[in-house]
Amino acid sequence: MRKIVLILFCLICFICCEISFSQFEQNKLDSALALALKCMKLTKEDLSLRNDYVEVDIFRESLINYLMKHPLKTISAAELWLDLNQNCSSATNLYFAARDFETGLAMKEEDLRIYLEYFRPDYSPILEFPKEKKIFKPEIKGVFAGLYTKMVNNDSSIKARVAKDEVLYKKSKENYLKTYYTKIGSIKQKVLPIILEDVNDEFKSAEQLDLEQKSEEELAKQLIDLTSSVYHEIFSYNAGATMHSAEALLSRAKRPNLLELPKKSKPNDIIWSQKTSIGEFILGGKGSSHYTGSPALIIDLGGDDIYELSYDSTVSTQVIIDLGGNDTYKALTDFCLASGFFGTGILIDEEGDDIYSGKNFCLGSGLFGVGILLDKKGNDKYFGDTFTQGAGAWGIGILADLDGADNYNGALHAQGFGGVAGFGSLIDKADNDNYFAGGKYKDILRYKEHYLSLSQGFSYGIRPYMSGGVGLLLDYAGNDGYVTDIFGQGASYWWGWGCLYDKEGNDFYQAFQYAQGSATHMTLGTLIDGAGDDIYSSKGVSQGCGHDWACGILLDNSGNDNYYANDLSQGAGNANGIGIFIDQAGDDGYYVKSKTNTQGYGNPRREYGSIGIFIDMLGKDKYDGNGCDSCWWSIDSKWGVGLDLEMK
Amino acid sequence: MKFKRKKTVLLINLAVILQIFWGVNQGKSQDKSESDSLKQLVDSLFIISSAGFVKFADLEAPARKQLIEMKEQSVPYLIPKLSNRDARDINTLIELFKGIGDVATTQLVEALQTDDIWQIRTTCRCLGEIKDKRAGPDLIKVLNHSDYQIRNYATTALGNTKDTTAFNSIVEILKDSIEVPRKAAAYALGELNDKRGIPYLISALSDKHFSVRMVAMESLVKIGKGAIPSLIQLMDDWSDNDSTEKSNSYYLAIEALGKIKEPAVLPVLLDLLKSPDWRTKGVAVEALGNYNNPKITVSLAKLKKSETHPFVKDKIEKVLEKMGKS
Repeated sequence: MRKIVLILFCLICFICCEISFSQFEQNKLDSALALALKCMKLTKEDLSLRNDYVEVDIFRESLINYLMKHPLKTISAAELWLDLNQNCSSATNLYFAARDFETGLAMKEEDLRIYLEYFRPDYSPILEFPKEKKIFKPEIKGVFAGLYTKMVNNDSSIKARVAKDEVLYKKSKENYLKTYYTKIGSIKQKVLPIILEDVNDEFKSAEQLDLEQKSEEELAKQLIDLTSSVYHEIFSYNAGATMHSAEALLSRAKRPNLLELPKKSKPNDIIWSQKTSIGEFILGGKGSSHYTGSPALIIDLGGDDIYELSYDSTVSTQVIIDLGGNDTYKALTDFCLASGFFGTGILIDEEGDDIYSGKNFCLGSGLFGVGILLDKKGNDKYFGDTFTQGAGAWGIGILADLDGADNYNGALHAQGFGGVAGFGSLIDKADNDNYFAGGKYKDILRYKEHYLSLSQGFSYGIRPYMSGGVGLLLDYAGNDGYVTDIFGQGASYWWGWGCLYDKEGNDFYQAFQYAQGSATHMTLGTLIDGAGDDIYSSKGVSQGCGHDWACGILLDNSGNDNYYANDLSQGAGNANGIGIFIDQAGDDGYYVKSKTNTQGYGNPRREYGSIGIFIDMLGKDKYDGNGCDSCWWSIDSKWGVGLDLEMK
Repeated sequence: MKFKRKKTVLLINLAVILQIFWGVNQGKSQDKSESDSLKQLVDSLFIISSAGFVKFADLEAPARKQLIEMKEQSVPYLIPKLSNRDARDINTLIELFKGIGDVATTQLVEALQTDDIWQIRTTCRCLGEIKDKRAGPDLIKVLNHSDYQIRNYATTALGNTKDTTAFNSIVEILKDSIEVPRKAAAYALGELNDKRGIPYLISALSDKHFSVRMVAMESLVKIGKGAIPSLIQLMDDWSDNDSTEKSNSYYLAIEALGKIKEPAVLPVLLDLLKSPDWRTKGVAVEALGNYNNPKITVSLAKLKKSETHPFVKDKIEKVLEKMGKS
C-alpha cells in the first residue's frame, strides 16, 4: 500500500508539476515554444485539446482526459514511466508500476463486496508434496503452498467477479462456473472479430466489407454492455499477489540447498507434478525438459527446455519460471505464453538465449487480464502475430527484457500496445535491439501494398464507441532499429496515448505513415529520443503530426540527427490537429519532399486552423525544405511556424 | 487495368438499371416493390460511395454522382442514414446532400425532430452545406440543445444561410461556455455580414480560445470597411500602453486591417514598421503584403537592409517575393 501511495505521489509530482527533466532544459524548451507561439499569435494555453469532441465513453482513461487538455505533459508522463521502470527488475514491480501509472490520478475503489459475500475459494485438493522423495525442504514447501493459495484466490476472484451481476449466480452459487464460461465465451465471440484482422480482406467485395464493418459495429455496441462491469481493475489485487508469491518462490528455488534433486538428469527431466483444482503443477530439473499442455505452474531449474503449450479456458492463472538454459517457448494456440485472458499469465526466464514463438494474444498480453513476460538475461528472439509483446486491452500486458541484444517481431498490435481500457508496454533495458511490426495484414483502406502495424508504442480505440488506452515502448540503451509500416512508433488512433521513448544510442526509425510522434483523430502520440545520432524516415503524417483534434510530438534531445519525410510531417497540424517537432541539440539534417505542408504547417479546417510547430534549438543544421540554419520561417498555411534557434 | 475499371463501372450501372427494370416489370402494380428496388439501389450506391477503400476508389465518384443526380428520389433513403456514426458515412452524406441541394431541405428539417444527437449533428452539417434560408427557424430551435456540437453545427449552418434575422440568436451563442459554438458564432457573424456584429467580433478578438479569436478576425475582414474604425481604436488602446506586452488581439487587428486592404489605412500600417516590437513590425509587414502598392515595396526594401530580427526578415522576404511575382 505504501508503494502505491509513493508511486501515486510521484505521479502527481511529475505530471502536475513541470519537473520532468531538468528545470533548465524545461525552461529552454518552454521559451522556445513561447517564441513559436508568439509568431502565430497564440499562447501556451492554446496548445490544448478538449476531451469531449464526442461523448466520453465509459472506457476513457482519466490519464487520457488529462493529457488531451495538456498534450505537452505527455513528455513528462513518458519521463515518469521511464523513471518508474528504471529500477524495476521484478514482475511484481513492473505490474504495480503499470497499474498505478495507467489508472493515474483517479484510481477506483475495488468493489470486494460481491467476492466476499458470494464466493469462497476452493483449495481442494490440498497441495501434496511427495513424502518419499523429500524433494522439497520445509522452507520452500511453505512458499510453494503460498503461491498455490494466491493462484487459487486469483482464479476464484476472477470467476466470481466476472459472474457477479448475473441473476443466475445470485440465485444459485453452484452455477457460477457455468455463468462465468458463458460470459467469457460471449465476450470472446464479440471481441475477437474486432481485434483480429483477416489476410483475405483484400479479396472481399465492397458489400462484404460493409457487412463485416456493420457487424463489427454491432458487436462493439454489445461489448460495451457486456464489459462495462468487467473492468480491468478487477484483476488487479490478486494478480499482484500471485506475482509476488511467484517471485518469492523463484528466489527460493534459486538457492541450491532448498531442493533435494536427483544426482543425474533424465532425458525429459520432470521431477514432480500434481493435478490441482486450478491446473497441473510441475517441477522440472536441471536437464532438458519438454513441457506440453496447459499447466498452471511450471518451475524449471535449468537446461535447454522446450515448451509447447496450448490454451485451456479452465486454467485462468498460469505461472512459468525458468531458471536457466537456452529455451524454446512455442505457443500451439492463441492465448498462450504470458497471456492473461480472463486471468493472469506470468512467464519469468532468468537467463539464456531464448526463442519465444507465439500466435495471437501472447508474450505479455492482457486481454481482460494481466500478462507479464520478464526475461532477465540473454539475446532473445520474440515472434508473435496479433496482440503480442506488451499488449493490453481491458487489462495489462507487459514484456520486459532486462539484458541482451534482442529481436522483436510482430504483425499487429504489438510491442507496447494499448487497446480499449488497456495498458501495454514493452521495456527493453540494454543492448542493441531490433523491432519489426507489420508485414502480414494489408492496409486495404489506404494502400494496395502496405501493411498495418499499429505497434511500437501505439494506442487504438474502437471508433466511435470505445476510447483507446496507453501503449508505451521504452528502450533504455543501445543502437536500436525500429521498423513499422502504417501506424506506429509513438502514435495513436482514437482517444489514447501511444509513446516510444528511446533513452540513448544511435537509433534508426523507419515507417511509412502515421508514425514517429503522430496522432490521428482525437488522440495523442509521442516519440522521444534522449541521445545519440539518429535517423528518422517516414513517408508522411509523421514526425510530430496531429490530425483531427489530435496532438503528435517528436522530441529529440541531443545528437546529430537526420530526418527524412515526404509530406505532412516535421511539425504539421492537419484538420485542427497540433503537430510539434523539437530537436534540442546537435547538427541535424532535415529533408522533405513537399515544402507545402511540412516543417511548421497548420491548415484551416472547421473554419479555423491547425497548429504546426517546428523548432531546432541548437546546432549547425542543414535543410532541404522550408527552413535554413539560424532563421525563422513561415509557409502559406494558416498557423505554422519554423524556428532554427541557437539556445546555448 | 483502367479499361477493366471502366468496365466494372459500366457493369454496375447495367446491373442497377436491370435491377430497376426488373423491379418495375415485376411489380408494375405494386409501388412497394418499386420503392424497395429504389432503396436497394440507393443502399448499394451508398456502400460504394462511402467505402473509402483504395481498390474501390474509381467507383466512388460515379456512385456519388449517380446518387446526386437522382435528386429527391434518393433523399428518403438517405435520410435514415443520418444517424450513422461512421465518419466516412457522415462525410459522404454531407457531400451528397450538398450536391442534391435544397430539394432535400424539407426532409432534412424533419430529421431534426429526433433525440438521436448523431442524427441532429449530421443533419445540421448537411443543412450547412445546402445553405437554404427555409431551414433557419428549425436551426434556431436546436441552438439551445444540450449537446455543444449541435449548437456548433446549427450556428455554422445558420451563418451559411446568411439570414440576418438569426442575428440575435447567433450573438447569444457567442456567450456559450464552450469555445466550439463560440467559434461558430464568430464565423456566422462574418457570413451574415451585418455591421451590428462588429462590437461583438471586436470583443471576440480577446477570447480565451484561439479558434474564436482567429475566426472573429476573419469575420471582421468579411464585414470590411465598416470594421476599420473599431480595429484602429483597438490598436490605439494598446499603443497607449507600450510598456506592457501587447495582447494577441492587437496583432489580430493589424492582420485584419491588412486583409481589408483599404488604401486609407496604409499610412497606419506603414507607421507600424517603426515599432521597436518585432511582432508588431512582422505582422505589419505581412499586412502590407496584401496591398499592391509600389510605395510598400520601397519601404520594405529599405527596412530589409537594417532589419536583424529573423521573424521580421522572413516576413519582408516573403512579401517582397510575392510583390515581385505580381
